[in-house]
Amino acid sequence: MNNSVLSWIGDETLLQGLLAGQTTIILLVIIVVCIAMLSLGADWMIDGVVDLAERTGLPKIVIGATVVSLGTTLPEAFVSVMAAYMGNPGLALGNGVGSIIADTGLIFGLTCILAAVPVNRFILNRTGWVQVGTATMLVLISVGILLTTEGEPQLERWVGYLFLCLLILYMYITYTWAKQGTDVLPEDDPLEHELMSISKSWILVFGGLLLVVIGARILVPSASEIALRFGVPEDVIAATMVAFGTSLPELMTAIAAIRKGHPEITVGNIVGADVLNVLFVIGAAAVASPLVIPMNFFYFHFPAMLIILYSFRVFISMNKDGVFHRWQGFWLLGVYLCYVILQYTLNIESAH
Amino acid sequence: MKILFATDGSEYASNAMDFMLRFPFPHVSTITVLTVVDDIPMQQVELDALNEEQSEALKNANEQLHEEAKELVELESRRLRADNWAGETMVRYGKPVNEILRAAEDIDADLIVMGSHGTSMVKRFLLGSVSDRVFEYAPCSVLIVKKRDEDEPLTAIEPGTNAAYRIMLAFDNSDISHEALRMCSSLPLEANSTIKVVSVMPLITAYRQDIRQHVNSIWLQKKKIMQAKLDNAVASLQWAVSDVTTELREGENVSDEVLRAAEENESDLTMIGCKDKGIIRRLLLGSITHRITRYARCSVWAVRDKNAID
Repeated sequence: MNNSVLSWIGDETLLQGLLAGQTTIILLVIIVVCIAMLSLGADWMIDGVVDLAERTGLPKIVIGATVVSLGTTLPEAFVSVMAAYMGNPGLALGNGVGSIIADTGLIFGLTCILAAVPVNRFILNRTGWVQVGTATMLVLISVGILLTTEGEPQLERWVGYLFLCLLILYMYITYTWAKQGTDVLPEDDPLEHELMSISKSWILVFGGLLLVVIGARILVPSASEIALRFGVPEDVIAATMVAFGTSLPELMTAIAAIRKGHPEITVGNIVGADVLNVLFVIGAAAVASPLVIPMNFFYFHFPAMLIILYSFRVFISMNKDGVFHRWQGFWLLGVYLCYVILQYTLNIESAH
Repeated sequence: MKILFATDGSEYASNAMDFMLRFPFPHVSTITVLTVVDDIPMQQVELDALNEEQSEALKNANEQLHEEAKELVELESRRLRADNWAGETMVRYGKPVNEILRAAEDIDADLIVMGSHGTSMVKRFLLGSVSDRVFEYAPCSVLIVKKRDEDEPLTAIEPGTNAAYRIMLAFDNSDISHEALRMCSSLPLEANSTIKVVSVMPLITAYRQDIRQHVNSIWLQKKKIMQAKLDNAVASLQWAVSDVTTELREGENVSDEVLRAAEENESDLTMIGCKDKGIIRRLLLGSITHRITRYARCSVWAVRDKNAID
C-alpha cells in the first residue's frame, strides 16, 4: 500500500503489528536473538576495522571516527530527520544532544573503567577539538538565537545548512589528516595474523553495521512491548530503553571493541559520533524543519553536554602517559548518572 | 456549482450517477454529462496497409463507437432530466484523461464526478489509471464515487430521495481543509446525516520514539492546540447537521490513519482538502490525498481551491 520512499523505509507498522501479536516468551526469544545479532554484528565490524587498519595503515581510531561512527549514528539521524520532517522537531534536537551525553558519559565512561584506553594524542588533538568545537558552536548559536529573538528560540534552516556544509568539510579534513597520519604514525599493532582480502574486511564492516542497526531496530520495540505488558509506565520506558535505543549500536561496538582488545576504536567511535550528532543529526533535522529549542536545554541539557565534553577534552590533554585513567571513566559516568538522577528529581523533561 | 460527470458506460460510472442523483449538492448545480471516445488505436503504417474494404470496416466501427457514445450521454442526461437536474451533454474525441481535463477547463467546472472500482491492484493497473490521473491533474475538485463492496449488487435507487449520509472530513487546519469544511457546511444535508471531523497527528514509531513522544510536553501541548482548532472548526458545521463529532488520532502514517478512521466510521463519503505539493515532497512522502482517494473504500471528495490553482 505504501507508495513513497520515506514511508516505506519508515514504516514500522508491520514490525510492530508482528511484535504486538507475539506472546511474552516469543518476545523474549526475539530479544535474545537481537542481542546475539547486535553482538555478532559488532564483532564482525571490529574484525573488519582492525583488518582494514592493518591493511591500509590508517589508525583504527580514524576508521572508528569515520565509517563506524557514520554507521552507528544512522539510527539517530533517521529518527531525528523523520521527527523534524513529520512535524515533531522537539524530538530531533533532544536526540542529538541526548546521544552525545549518553555516548560520552555512559559508553565512553564505562569503556574507560573496563579497559585501558590508549590516548592517540596525534589524532585526538585534532578530532578532539572538532568534537568540543561543534558542540560549543551548537550551544553558542542557540544562545545567540535566544538572545536575539523574541518568543520561542529555534534553530533555523540556515543553521542546518551550515552544519551540513561543515560536515562535508569535516569529512574532507579527516581524510587528509588520516592520510598524513599514516606517514607519521607507526602501526597500531605488529602484524599478528594472516590478513583478509580488502573486500572481505569491507563486507565485515558493512555487514556488521547492518546487523547492529537492524538488531537495535527490532530490539527496542520488542523490549518496550514487554515493558508495557508488565505495566512499566510510559515515561519510564521513554527515558530508559527508548532513549537509549538509538545509542545501542555505539554501546555494542564499545563492548565488542573491549572484548577484542581494541578500545581505541571506541574512542574514535565516540568522538566521531559526537561530531556527527551535531553536524549530521541536528544539521539534517534542522534542514528538514526548524527546531524549537526548549528552555530546559539552556539551563540543563546544554551545560551537562558541555561539562562531559570539556572533561573529556581536559583528560586528553592531561594524559601524558598515553592512556585514559580509570578514575576519568568514573568521573564521566558519574556526571552522566548525576545528569540522569537530576533529570528525575528536578522533573526536567528528558532531552533524549 | 458546475459539475462535470464523466462516464464510460461501465457499471462503476452508472453507480457514480446513482450516487450523484441522490447526493444533496447545492441547489443551483448544473451537470454536464461527458463521455470520451477514443478511436480504435491503429498505427499509421497499419492504416496504410489496409485495403479499401478493411478501412471501410474500420470507419464503420469507429462511427459505431461515436454513435454509442452519443446514445450513452443521451441516456444519462434523460435520467438527470427525469430527476429535475439542469444540464447538457458532451461527447469528446481523444484520450480520456486529456479530454476530461480539457472539458473541465472549458466549462469552468467546480467538480468532476467519476466512478471508480474497488481497490484491487490488478484492476487498477488495467483500468484505474483514468480516475487516478484525472484526480492528479484536475484543475478543480474531484469526487471519486466507489462501490462500497465489490459484491454489492447495483440496486435501483429511487432518484430524488435524499438519504442520510455519514460524512467524514479530514482536517489539518490548512487553508484548503477549511475550504473543505466550508464546502461541507454548504451542502443541504438531511438533518439526520452525521459529520465526523478527523485530524491525524503523525507519530514516529521507529525505535519506539512514539513512547517518548507521548510523554513529551511539547507534543501534549500541540495535541491540545489541535483539539481546540478542531472544536473551533466544527462550530461552523453544527447548524447544518446536529450530529457533528470530532476525533483527534495519532498514527505513523497519516493517510493510513485517515483510511482507518473512515472504515471505523463506516463513512459513505470522505472529504479532504487537496494540497498540491512539490514534486520532490510528493515523491518522498506521497500525496496523502492521493493515497486516500486511491485506497478508500468509500467515495472521496478531494476539495481543491480553483482560484489558488489559477
